[in-house]
Amino acid sequence: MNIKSKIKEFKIKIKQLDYRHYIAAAITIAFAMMTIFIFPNAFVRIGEALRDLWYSLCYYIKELFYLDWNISVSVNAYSKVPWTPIFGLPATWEEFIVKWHEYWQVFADWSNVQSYFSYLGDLLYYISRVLLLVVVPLVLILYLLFNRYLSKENNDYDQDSKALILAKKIATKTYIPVKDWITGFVAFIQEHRIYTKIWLFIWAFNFNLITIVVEFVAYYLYFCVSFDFANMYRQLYKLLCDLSVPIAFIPTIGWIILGYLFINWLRRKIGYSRLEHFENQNCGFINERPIVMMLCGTMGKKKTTIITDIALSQEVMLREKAFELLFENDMKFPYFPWINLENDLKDAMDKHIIFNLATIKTFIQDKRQVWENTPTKDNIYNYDFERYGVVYDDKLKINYIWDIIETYSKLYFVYIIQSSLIISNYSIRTDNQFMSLGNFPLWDTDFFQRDSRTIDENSRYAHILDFDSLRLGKKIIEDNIKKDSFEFGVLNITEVGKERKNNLSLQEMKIKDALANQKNDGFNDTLKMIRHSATIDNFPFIKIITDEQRPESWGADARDLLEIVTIDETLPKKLAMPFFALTELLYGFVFGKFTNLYYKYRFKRSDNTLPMYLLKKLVAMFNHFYNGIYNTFGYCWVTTQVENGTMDGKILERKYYIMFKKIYSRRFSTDCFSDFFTQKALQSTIGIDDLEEYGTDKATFDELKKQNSYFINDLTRKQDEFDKKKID
Amino acid sequence: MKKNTLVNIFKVVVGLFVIVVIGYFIYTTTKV
Repeated sequence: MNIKSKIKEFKIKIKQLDYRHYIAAAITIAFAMMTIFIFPNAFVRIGEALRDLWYSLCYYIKELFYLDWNISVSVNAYSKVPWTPIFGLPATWEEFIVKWHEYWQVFADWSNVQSYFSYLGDLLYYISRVLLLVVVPLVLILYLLFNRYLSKENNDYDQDSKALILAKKIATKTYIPVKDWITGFVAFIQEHRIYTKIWLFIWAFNFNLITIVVEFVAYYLYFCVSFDFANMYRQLYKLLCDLSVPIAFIPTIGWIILGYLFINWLRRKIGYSRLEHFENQNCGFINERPIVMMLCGTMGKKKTTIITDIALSQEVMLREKAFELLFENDMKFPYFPWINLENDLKDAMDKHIIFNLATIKTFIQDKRQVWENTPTKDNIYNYDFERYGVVYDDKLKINYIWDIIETYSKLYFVYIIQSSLIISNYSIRTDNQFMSLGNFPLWDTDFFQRDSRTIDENSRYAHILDFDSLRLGKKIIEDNIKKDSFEFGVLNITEVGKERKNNLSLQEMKIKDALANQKNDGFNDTLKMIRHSATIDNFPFIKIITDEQRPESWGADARDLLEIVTIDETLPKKLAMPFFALTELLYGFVFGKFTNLYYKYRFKRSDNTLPMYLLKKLVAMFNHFYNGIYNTFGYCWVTTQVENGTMDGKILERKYYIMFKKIYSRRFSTDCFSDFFTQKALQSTIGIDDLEEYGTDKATFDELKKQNSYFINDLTRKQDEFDKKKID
Repeated sequence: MKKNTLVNIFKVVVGLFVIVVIGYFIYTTTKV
C-alpha cells in the first residue's frame, strides 16, 4: 500500500469519526492549557516530589543495607512555591504552638462569638434576600395563577392551554435537544472511558493530588527507617500548602456541589452497609431454626413475604456453605488438580450423566473402580498420588482420596447449579449472578445493588414443587417421572395447612384408601428422613419453610418436627440511609400541599395548563427520587415469637428484617393463587355494581332471605314450622 | 404533628447546630 492510499484511508477514517471525539479532544486540550497557564506551579511541585522520592528511596536502601552513601534527604525541605496553607497554618512547629494557644484564646473570646454570629447573620440576610427576590415572587405568581384557574370550571378533556402549547413548542426546539445532546454526550464519554481517565489525571495533577501521593510515599520510605517524628509537622504543612490550590480554585458553588456529592456517596455507603448488617442478622435468625419451620400469623402479617425472604437468604447460604466446604476439602489434598475433576463433572452434567447427588456417587465410584484396577495418574485426574499420597489424617479419622473426591464432587454440583435451589408451590424470582471465566466460578449474591432495569435478563425462577416427590407412600400419579427427584434445596410451601390439613379435617380419610391422601402418602415420613438425602460432608443442604395462618391447621405429627415462628407485630417502615431528614421534611411539606391543590384542580378542570404542567413535572421528579431512595434503602422489622412445634416449650422473642429492595423487587406475587379466583370470577355474569342493595336502613324479610344464610334459613324454617302448628 | 416529623425536625436542627459549630472552628482560624 503506498502513502497516498494510506493518507486517503486515514482521511476516510477521520470523516467517519464521531464528531463528539473532536469535542472531547477540545475539552482535553483546554484542560491541558489550563495546566500550563493556570497551574504552572504543579510542574514545580511534581518535580520536587519526584526528587524527594528519589532521595528517600536512596536513603531507605542505604539504611536498610548499612551502605556508606552520602545522601541528603530532601523530603523535609519546604517547597519553593510560595503557597499559603489552608487554615493559615504556620510554617514551623514552634510557631504552631504559639498560634495554638492564641487560637483557643480567640475561640473562647465572647467578641469572636459575636463577630461570628454577625457574620452568620449577614450570610442569612444575603440568602433570604435571594429568596425574597426570586422565590417569593415566583410562589406568589403561581399562587395567583392557580387561584385564577381554580375559580373557573371546565370539561375540556386533555386540552392543552395556549401557554402550554407554546411552552411545549419552545421546549421541543430548545430544552429537549439540549438535554438529549448532553445525555448522549455523557453516554459517549462513559463509553470512551479514556477521556474520563485523561481528565481525571489532568485535574489530579493540577490540584497536586499526584504530588501529594508521591510525597507521601517519599516520606513513608524516609520515616520507616528514620522514625523522624520531629519533621512530621512539616509534612502536614506541605500537605495543606498543596491542598490550598483546589481550595482557592474551586468556587463556593462548586464546593457545595462537591459536598453534596460526598455526603450522597457517604450516606449511600452507610445505607448499604446497614442493609448488609440486617441481612447478616436475618441469616443468624435462619441458622438458629431447625430444618423444618412454619411461619404463622393472621392475614396481611407478611407471612409469605417472610418465607420468601428466608428462602432467598437460605439459597445464598447453601451456596456459601458449599463454597466453604469445597475449600476445606480442597485443602485436604492441596496438590490435587481439582480443575480436572471440575471439568469432568461439568462435561458429565452437560451430557446428563450427572443430574443429582446419587448419580455423582455412582459416577465417582465407577472412576474409583477403574483407578483401583489400573492405578495410573490418568485415571485419577492427573493427580501425582505416588508423590503426594492418597490419605489425609485429620486427627479424627483417615480420609481416603476417593471419598474426598466424591464429597468434593457433590459440593461442586450444589455450588454450580445455575438454576435456583428453591423448589416451591408458588413462584419466587432469584437473581444471583453466576460468574465464570471457564475456571472456578464465583457467585454474586448481592440483594441490594441490582439494577432494576436488568431484572428480566438475569432472573431465574423457583422450580415447581411436585408434591409426589415428597411422598414416600402413595402418590397422586404412581408412575410420576418426578416422584424420586427431590434430594436437596430450599423447599417453600405456602398455606401448608390447606395442603396437608389437620387430624380433624382428615377424619374421613383412611390409610387403606386406594387413592393417595394425606394419611397414606408418607409425606410426614419424608419430612422426618429428608436430611439423609441432602447431607454432604455432614451438612444438610436442605431447609423446609412453610406458612399458615394458625399452627393447628397442620396435623400434630408433622408439626411436632418443626419450630413455629409466630409473627407478632410489623413495625413501621424506616430508612437505612442516614442524612435524609431535611429531604423528608421538604417532601412531606411539598407533597401534602401539592396533593390538595392537584385534586382541587382535577375536580374543577380537565384541561392542561402550563403552571400545573410544570408543577406536576417538578413534584413528580421529587416523588420519583424519594420513592427510589425508600425502595432502595427502606426496611422494617417484624417481631416474632419462636416456639417448638409441640407448643409446650419456652417462647423466644426474635426480630426479622424486611428490606424492600431485596423482597419487593418482583420476587413473588402476594396473590400467588389469584389465578384460581380470576377463573372463578370469569364464570360470573354480574359484578359488585349489579348486586342488589338494601332498600332502607332495616332489611326486609325478603332481603334477608336473599342472603342464602344458614342462620336466616334456620330462622325461616322455624317460623314456617311455627306457622304450620298455628294453622293445625 | 406526627412523631416522625418531629424526629426529622430534631435531626435537621442537630445537623444545623453541628454545621454552625464546625463553622465557628473554621471561622476562628481566620482570626488568628
